[in-house]
Amino acid sequence: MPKPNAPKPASPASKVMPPAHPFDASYLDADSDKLKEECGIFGVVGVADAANFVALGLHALQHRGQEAGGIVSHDPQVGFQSARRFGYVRDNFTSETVMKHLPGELAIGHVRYSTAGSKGQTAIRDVQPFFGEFAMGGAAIAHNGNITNANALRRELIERGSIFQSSSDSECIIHLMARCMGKTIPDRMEEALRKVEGAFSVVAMTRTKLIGVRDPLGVRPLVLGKVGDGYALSSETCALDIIGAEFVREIKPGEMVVITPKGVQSHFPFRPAPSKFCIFEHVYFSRPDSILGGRSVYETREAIGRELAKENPVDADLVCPVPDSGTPAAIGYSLESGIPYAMGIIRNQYMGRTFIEPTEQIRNMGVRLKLNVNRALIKGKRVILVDDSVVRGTTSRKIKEMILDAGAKEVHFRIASPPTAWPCFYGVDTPQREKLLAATMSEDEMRDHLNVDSLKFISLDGLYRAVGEAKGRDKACPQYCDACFSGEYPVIPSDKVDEGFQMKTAAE
Amino acid sequence: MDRCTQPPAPVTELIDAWPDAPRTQLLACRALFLDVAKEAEVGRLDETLKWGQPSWRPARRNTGSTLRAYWFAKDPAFLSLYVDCKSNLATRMRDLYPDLPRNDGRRHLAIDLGAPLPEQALRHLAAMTFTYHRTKA
Repeated sequence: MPKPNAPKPASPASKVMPPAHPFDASYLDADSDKLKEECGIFGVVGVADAANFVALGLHALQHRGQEAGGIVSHDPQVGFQSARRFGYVRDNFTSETVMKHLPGELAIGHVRYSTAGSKGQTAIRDVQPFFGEFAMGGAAIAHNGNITNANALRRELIERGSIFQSSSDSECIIHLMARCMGKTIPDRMEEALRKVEGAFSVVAMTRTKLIGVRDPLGVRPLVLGKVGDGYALSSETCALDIIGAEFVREIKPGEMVVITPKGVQSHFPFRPAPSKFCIFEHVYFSRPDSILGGRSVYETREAIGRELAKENPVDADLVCPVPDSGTPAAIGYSLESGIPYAMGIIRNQYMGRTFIEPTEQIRNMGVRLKLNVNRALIKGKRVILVDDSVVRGTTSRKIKEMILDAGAKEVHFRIASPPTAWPCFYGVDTPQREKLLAATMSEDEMRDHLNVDSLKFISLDGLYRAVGEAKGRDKACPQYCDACFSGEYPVIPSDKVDEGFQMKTAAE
Repeated sequence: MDRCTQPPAPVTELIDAWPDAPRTQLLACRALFLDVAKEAEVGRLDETLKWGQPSWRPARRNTGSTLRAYWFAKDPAFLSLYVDCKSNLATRMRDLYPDLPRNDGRRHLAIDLGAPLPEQALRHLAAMTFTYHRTKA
């Protein structure tokens, strides 16, 4: 039976997956069927050549956004300087010609993944950090998250005379600041952010201060580090490690820190609310060598694999991860089940997202461009494939075909997150709901659609246990934002609702 | 200052003359203010009568601003709270807690004596007030 109240599929084609459509670019990239974090942010104050530290930090955060990046620095002699580029950090912010134009002891940066249209349509004007000149001096901001009332704010600001230069929701913050009455930049920033709904972790800078803010729910991460005599703010701890900074603490939900080389001033300018950190940061977005909520992401993912094995055991010969994101969960599954772990699929690390314009012949190679099956290992075996998530199911189906082509006897999919049935509106690039496999199909239908011997997902409670909530999910007040699985949005996505998005009904 | 201690004598003398409801509510507010001051690590609070009204302010210079509370017999259903009119504390509270029964956006806020103590709002007000200058430094 189809799922009750499920959205209609976009087209009949979404139910019957072609083996490798020559004009569907998603088959090019083994990661094309992943949810994508939209941004990573980083800032440093109180160290010489701060922009170099920011470039390194952004490089460590590259997994949070590969399409473009930018750095703004400030030096008392030359003022604010900015560089914004398309492409990887390593390709843009390692050259002396770029970095010598970003002097000073204070800098912030941003890496982004575009959600506006297809790849390549993003304009350089959408690349952050954004800069604004105010009566009391300039300020630059970099934002990770998504402002869910951005359309309404933008409309109102334009009606009142604001002239937007980008299509980014984050630019609203600068325009709101311009209209605030506060006497200082931090005052204006907190006043502006009080008008903003949704998810925001912000790193900003004035001529003398580095500012960090997290939304009251703390949906996206932000951490504080100490580097030499200065300080750093980062989306994740892995970026502190790369610059040799010491992890100090996480910025708390609703907290604003104003940092100078002399120290950190903290306050809470928003109405307190129960924390709703994004649970998918644990599952996929964050790097496994980062620390979230005091827990190693790697260890959490391994725990997810263990829970998955407890909930969904199956007789098999090998546990193989879908690299790289499925690896820790596969190790956990193997340890719990006692079934040997093996690298049945090998990932080509040099196949970047920016692959040159492919020919049709190359397009037909699809996922094989990035992933290859270790045939000698797989042949004649019953294989458990562990992946972090199933979004549209396109890549899962291709991988299954590759495993069977290599001579596997059985293929069992085990997924380290519950079915992704709802889009995220808090800073993640997700397909429309009707394109999410789990939104239109039951688990059995998905198994038949992917044509595998078995398909099982970790339960929501199991996932909560794995991230450290021993009693599982608190149904009355969930400890995390899990809207992509549950459809329970902690902040109403008002712009999307205005556009016709149907929220979950009581019956669902 | 320990939250279990009694208010200074002038404050006690003043509020002893009040009816039960405002006196109880003021003592509850006071306990909460002292607790917030400890949490925010602002040091000792000066607790005095300022313009004849109970007031609290961190003793350490350049740390925080003053918070006052008073009950007016002519407005018996409310306990009034006052912040420095040159600060933006009232505006911030109006943005954050539009549900408080009174806030003129400048200096005067009030809580309803017939309703449960709006603990979250008061804690937030106290935290912002007692760290006002520290966070602006």
